[in-house]
Amino acid sequence: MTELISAQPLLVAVLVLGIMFLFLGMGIWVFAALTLVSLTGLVVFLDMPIDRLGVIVKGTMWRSATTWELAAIPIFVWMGELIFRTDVSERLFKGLEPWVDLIPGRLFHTNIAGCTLFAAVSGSSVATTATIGRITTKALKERGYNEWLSVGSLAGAGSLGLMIPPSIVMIIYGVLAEVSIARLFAAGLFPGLLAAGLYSTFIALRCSINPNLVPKRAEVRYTNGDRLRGLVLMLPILVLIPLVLGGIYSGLATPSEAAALGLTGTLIITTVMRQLTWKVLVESLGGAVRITCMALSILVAAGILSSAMGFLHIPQEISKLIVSLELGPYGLILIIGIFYLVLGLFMEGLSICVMSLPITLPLIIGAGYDPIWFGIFLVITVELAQVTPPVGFNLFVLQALSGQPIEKVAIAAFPFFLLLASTAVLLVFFPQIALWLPDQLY
Amino acid sequence: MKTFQDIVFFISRAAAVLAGVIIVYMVCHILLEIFVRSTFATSTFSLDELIGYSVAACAYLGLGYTLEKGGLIRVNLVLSKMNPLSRARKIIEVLCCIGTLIAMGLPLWYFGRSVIVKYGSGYTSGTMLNAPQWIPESFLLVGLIIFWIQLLAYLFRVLGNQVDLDASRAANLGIE
Repeated sequence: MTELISAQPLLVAVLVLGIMFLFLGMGIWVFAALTLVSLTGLVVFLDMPIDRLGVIVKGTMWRSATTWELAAIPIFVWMGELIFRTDVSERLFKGLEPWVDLIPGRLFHTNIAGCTLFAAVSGSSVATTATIGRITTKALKERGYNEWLSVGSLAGAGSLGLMIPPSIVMIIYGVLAEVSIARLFAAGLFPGLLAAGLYSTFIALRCSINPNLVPKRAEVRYTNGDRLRGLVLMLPILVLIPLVLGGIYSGLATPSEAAALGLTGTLIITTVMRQLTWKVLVESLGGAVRITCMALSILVAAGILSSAMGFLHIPQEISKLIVSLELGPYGLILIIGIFYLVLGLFMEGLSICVMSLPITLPLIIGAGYDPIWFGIFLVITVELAQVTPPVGFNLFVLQALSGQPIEKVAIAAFPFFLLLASTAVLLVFFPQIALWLPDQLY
Repeated sequence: MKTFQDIVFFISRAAAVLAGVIIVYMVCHILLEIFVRSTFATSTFSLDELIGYSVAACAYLGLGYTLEKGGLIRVNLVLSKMNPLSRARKIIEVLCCIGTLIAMGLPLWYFGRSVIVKYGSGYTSGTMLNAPQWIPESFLLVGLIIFWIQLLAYLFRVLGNQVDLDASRAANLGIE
């Protein structure tokens, strides 16, 4: 089989990718499927002796898993799990209520603003959707707000959890692409706010055109005193945001240090609020262990896959093929965007990100794109994957929260999917949306 | 059989508790580093190395527990369309388990060899800490062994028709 690589390198690339989709499609756990396809590729197409294979796999696992920057992942996840188990999200909802009352669409905007604020202390979109959604889906329905716009806006806004820093996907991308995680965190802020702005504008427009989506306004209006009290209710999140992001943006703390400070802040706040029980502490830590193991096992497998693909010359072959198409930078990003959208229908975002990077990153850098910019573009495509059926984690969460079938949830989310895709298009034509802040800060 | 399953899950849970303790340790070490840097303008001089070992230990010690709790991601698209009680569904599940046992068996074997060699030769990291390398590698090895046994226990349950193979219900998103 070794002759096949030199004679038909592209065929080998296609076969390896085919085996990968077979393993993933039959339901092997993603981290194991990526490892297994690496082993199969190296044994079948390179006749690699088992002894050498074992040494390579062991070495790659050790190198990938002992990256100290990854410590930010368990700590940020733990922080999110702690907040999820307290009434911080309920306070956030009540605090935002008097603030959004004047905007057309009123309480619909608590989904957007709530997710945006929570995203600034959480690294995951599933956690963001679940934390905000468990309060708002029920509350909005009870008050007579249109359920579909509520569910759809939550699907879109929940995905801000990945784009507005901190973000687990950005940490993993930073480690794999060897770029500064702090710069990535800075680059994600404005695209995240842009997406949130687009969502809110869309809701305001829809509710202005069709006022029946919103219940009749009560006679009693909110006063400035109510708004001030709202701020007090939101205090836990408003204190945590500068603690987490301030340290990173000022350059005083690394992402891991900011995570540790944020967690300490969360522990103090939940203790002051008398909500930190032994049960909450243990359950949140258990949740952090599970998500950490899930994310890091995939990351390590991606390292193994990347080595195997390198040995098999797959990235070079696909690069050669793409270069021969003479697509130009915009054509290339269009092809990559479509590729991610199609994969996103069937797979979860993090897996797509790690398994494709060995191929897409060299192409992108070769075409002259900034790897920091591509990190943000990739995060948006990962978010798009979270809201596209049949496999989209945000949809699964909303399916569970709303009790509606996934098809209906996906249709409700579709306008917000288009708005997020528009954010990606804007980012292609105006890369400064992402790159301006890191250029100013670092 | 039930006792075997109970013992395996007890061990997985105990390892996950250790992973949780390691996360707490990481937070404490990072806070200590911030404190000594800002107060005494110095460092613990071991942060990168010890936190690196801790991340790896945490990632693997909790793997068996995460598997048992359904927290490891898999593509459920085809599985969820199949009849959970069918023979084909069971065969695919068995193949998934065997494939994963092979994929993790190889690094398990080589980590085992490496730990024995490094223990015998006294190989250290060569950094300021000069940590004997067999110690951090042992955490990974133990995590891999526990994961492997936990998966084997799961395979036995699949073979004994004791697992609900309804993939749509098995999706665990980490947030309960």
